[in-house]
Amino acid sequence: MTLLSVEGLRVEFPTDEGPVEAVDGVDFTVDRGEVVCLVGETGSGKTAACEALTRIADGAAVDGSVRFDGRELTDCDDRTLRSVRGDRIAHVFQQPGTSLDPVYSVGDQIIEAIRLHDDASRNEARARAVSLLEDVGIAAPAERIDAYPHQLSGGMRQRVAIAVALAADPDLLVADEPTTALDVTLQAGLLELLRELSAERDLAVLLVTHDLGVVAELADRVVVLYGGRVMERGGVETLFERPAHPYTRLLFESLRGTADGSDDRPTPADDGCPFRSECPYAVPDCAEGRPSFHAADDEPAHEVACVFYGPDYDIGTLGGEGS
Amino acid sequence: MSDDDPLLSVRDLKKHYPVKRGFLRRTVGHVRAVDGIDLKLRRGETLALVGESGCGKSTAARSLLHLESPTGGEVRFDGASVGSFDDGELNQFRRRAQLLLQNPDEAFNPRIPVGESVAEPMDIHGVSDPERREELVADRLERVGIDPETADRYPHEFSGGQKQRLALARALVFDPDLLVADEPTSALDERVQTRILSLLETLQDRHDLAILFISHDIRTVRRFCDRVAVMYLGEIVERGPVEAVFEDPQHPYTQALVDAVPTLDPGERGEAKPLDGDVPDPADPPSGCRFHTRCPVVIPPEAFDIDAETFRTVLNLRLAVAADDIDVERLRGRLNDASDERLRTALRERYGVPDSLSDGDAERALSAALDSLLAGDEEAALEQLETSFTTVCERREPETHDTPVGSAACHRRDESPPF
Repeated sequence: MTLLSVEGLRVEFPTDEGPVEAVDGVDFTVDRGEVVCLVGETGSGKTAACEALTRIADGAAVDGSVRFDGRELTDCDDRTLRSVRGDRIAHVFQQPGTSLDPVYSVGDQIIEAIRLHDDASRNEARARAVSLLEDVGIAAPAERIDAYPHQLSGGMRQRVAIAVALAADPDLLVADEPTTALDVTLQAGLLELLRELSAERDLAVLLVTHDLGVVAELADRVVVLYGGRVMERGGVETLFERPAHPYTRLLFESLRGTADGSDDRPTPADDGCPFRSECPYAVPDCAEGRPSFHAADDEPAHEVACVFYGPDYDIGTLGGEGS
Repeated sequence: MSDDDPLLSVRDLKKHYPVKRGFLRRTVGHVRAVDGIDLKLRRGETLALVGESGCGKSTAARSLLHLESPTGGEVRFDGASVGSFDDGELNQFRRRAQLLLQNPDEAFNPRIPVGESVAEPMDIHGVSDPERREELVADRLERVGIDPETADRYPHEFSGGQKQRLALARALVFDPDLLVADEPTSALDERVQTRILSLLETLQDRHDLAILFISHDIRTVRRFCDRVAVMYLGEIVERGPVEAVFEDPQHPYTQALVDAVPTLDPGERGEAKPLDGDVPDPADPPSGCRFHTRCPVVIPPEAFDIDAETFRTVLNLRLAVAADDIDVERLRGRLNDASDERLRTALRERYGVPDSLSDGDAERALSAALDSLLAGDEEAALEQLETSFTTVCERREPETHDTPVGSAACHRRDESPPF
């Protein structure tokens, strides 16, 4: 069942040199209990897109449709939006410090989040906080509940941040690079936790990451972003087996050590494919209007926005099966 | 000096920081960030120094460059001892050994055109001829793939990858022999990383540059480096050729690092294994093998017939009692004044200890300790646990053994484990 449905999402940020379009018409959906990964590099618009859902970024102009559990969020007033943000959609960030307050004990922060959500007594809330800490894999939760964030390791802080996010029993968890700041030794544990939470609580997770390793561990479906647009989307296994878009293929190739492309990424301000200036296969048609989505292969949900998959071109031109 | 002589040779390098407390700022202890490491690096070679954050690898980099004075040990560069250099020699050393950092933004002043920033080292080292400066800057920018025409632009006009190229251009101004690169690509996108690494490779081949590559990222290290030294809490636990070490790790810590890396295959998700526990406080490192508090294959006591996995769980329980992490009364309250039997089960469950240890003596020792704990006598419980459940790994510092391809410091490699 579709919980979140995003259509034609645009996000603009004002800058000294005029507004900059960070997200330029993005569509995706997230079902209950499903993990969807927004994958992209710096400047792909992945963070701007997920922050636009509940408008947590200041000064961004948001356009398009964000339907959450049947309600249009772009029309909501600030108060309604705040309550959705607290109760139904929770955020976890790359730096756990972003969501934790250094001057309150972790218990107080979870208890406050629980009591904002419903009118539990302090004792009830405390008991639930302990069990939340246990759920997120904190050993000795009854002892750790009175600790302050600085007394915990980075990995534990991120687990506590997840506990705070879960306090209101949300339907959707939006996690922006939640493991990027952690050592690889801790990453695997946190990914396992997110997997379990999603399965056990029927929690939908929208995960933003640049790391294909994280995607492989967690995603049900993948949305690949570049220059504020969706390049490709599909089920995780299909997409890893048969990446279709030249950009997605480059991402996989760079993991194997091939170093094509350049560091400067001029994103054309027109409607053509934003990747064409970097694309090894670019043809004049790539500049002609927004590439439509085509079936990438026999998998119905595997779609790619590239002219080579249209009727006028032969996919064989792109060579091989990617990876 | 012959080709076989290392360009850089580090012996027993130590860097300790005093921990000061109170009004009088008395020194109450030392953080042993780097605690006696050896490294050798030849011209044209890339050596990786890997480990988790807080293992001391960045401190090692700064102290071997004498950007911070080492507490002990010797650094030899091109045959001479860096510690005995006078100001002039140290200046010369600083030209020949350069540091490249993770975040290029820290290397550039946003209000100064990048060309001037790249030329900055020449101010410090007194190259003042304007033509010569311009020529050098243009040449170095070209080397790193930046158009010299853009030298008068400001940092914000460049992407993260381009800024790291600019930082590299600056490090290359004096054609150094050694580049110490501290997580040079960690902040960059994968594709940009790959391009920067391939640029480093090209430069290395062309200029016979030696690179000390500091990283926490095993995948990058495997792709880019020749040899590796694995560091844990200020010490090197294993070393050898990169592929051999990561294909068949001889130290459990190296194994844990390798096991934690995700597979990139959605069909095999969940295979990556986290390493439990936190990196201990380097001001108070664990006795014996510093990894014993987290090691998945810590050696069980000879007196009992229990496997390493089970022993790990009991040792975790013991360490929790020692750290005062178990509050029995609180646990009792949480379980609605449960019986002692329930509490025993809950405690075992929390640390993954089996309901009953297969070895009768071990089970009796553990039960007795749990009884003391439930009776509120934590001291007795700890003493019982520490007497029965002890390991050579905590009692003796492991010697460094030769492995087929390098070396590893682990008691599992002792000929007859000295129980």
